[in-house]
Amino acid sequence: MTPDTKIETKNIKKQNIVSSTDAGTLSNDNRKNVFSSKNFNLWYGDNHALQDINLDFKENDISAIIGPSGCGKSTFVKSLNRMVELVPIVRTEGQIIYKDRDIFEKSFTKEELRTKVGMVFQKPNPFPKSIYDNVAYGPRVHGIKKKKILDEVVESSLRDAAIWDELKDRLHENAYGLSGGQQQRVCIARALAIEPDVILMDEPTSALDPISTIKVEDLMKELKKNYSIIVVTHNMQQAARVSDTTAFFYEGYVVEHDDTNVIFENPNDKRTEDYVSGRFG
Amino acid sequence: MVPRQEFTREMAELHDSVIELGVLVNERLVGCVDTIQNEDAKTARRKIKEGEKIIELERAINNKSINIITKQQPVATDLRVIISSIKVSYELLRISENISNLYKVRKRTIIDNDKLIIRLRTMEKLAHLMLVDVKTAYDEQDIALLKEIIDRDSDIDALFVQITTSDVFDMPDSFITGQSQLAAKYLERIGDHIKSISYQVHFVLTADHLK
Repeated sequence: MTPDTKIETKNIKKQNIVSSTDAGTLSNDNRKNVFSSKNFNLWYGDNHALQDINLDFKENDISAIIGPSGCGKSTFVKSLNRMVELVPIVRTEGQIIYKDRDIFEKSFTKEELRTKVGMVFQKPNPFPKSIYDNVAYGPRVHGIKKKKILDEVVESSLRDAAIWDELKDRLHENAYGLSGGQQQRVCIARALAIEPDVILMDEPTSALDPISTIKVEDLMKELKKNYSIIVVTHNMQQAARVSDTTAFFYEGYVVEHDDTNVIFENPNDKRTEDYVSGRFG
Repeated sequence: MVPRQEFTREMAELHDSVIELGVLVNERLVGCVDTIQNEDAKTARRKIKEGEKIIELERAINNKSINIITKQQPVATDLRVIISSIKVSYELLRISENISNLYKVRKRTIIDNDKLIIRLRTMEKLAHLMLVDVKTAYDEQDIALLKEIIDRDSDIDALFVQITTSDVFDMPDSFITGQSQLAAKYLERIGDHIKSISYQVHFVLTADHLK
């Protein structure tokens, strides 16, 4: 770490108390927000993991969240579908608004939220079932029993995930027999099968080879026509390649949130520039 | 451990190469008008030959830049510096080519019209000062100086117009008249290239293109 970086990071909390309120709000864009967090705070026990997060995510955007390990980016994404509450010692304050509704309202159940907000994880995690059953799992849980409808959902989800042509003759094979890249796209298809509005992705390509990574990235660009995507990534080039906006998290704060071009070409905060250019983190 | 030590070292080397190129081009510029009125053409021939080193250095900067982009995947200020290094070194190469063209005028003829030489020498000095000041503006991140340098190019342009349109020089020989006007044109182009470098330096310092 350079001496300059030390000075910058030493005062980070003080600076962010002033700046984080405005760091996440992008102006001059009339599209609706699919998610907005307002003064959102999260604690794991005594650890204040997320501090005054104010971020807006626009519909049909790919929004990247970047930051060093432990900065709170995965915690934040898991807050958006309330998965973070699986950790017993979690406590939250503030609001996360999904299309004009606070996701913490009593009338907004987690199940309802998660039908609107799908998630894809770092490692492909197919169920030990056939490809068909993996994709049909969500619709079945939601009460769809008719085979004809399930067939249609499975096909359209696999088509949307750009993997139908590869797998249409193998639908009843075990998903574990697929390559890592194929498994991940099946998991994306499984997320699409419940017809969500938003897809959360937590480092979706970190376990994939470069070709599979490019396929998933191409898929993300295709999916944004119909879905909003929020993706956590450690891969700076991936964030630059695929996302429309990027938020930089550091030590539980949002340091900067802006158009991806600005973040990677001319960030406003020196810490952001140091991070995206690999000089700290 | 300092992160990205090799990258930082490579960026420093690139910076030093561009500065070295600028210094070499400036050395070629200084005294070029004296050479075209010199009885001895050997200096002009030597200076033309020296232009080859500029070509080699410009190519090396391009190769180095491509190599850093490929290996290090730079962003933000680093990427601007690299892209601007390529552009600035190209502008310096073009200045060097115009200087060589000036020396080639001496291979064809001697220009010894005092009124004309005074004006050509003034153009050379203005260009020299612009080039030196660009380096200063970069080192001191002086945006006002950059804008001033860009404005100063019009002084060189005005002298060029005067040389090519005025009849006060009493030039009896049309060939020498033509060569004199070519010399003025080369110096005018040098001013333009230094102006382009100023725009590029402004982009490096501010990430914004000066209108």
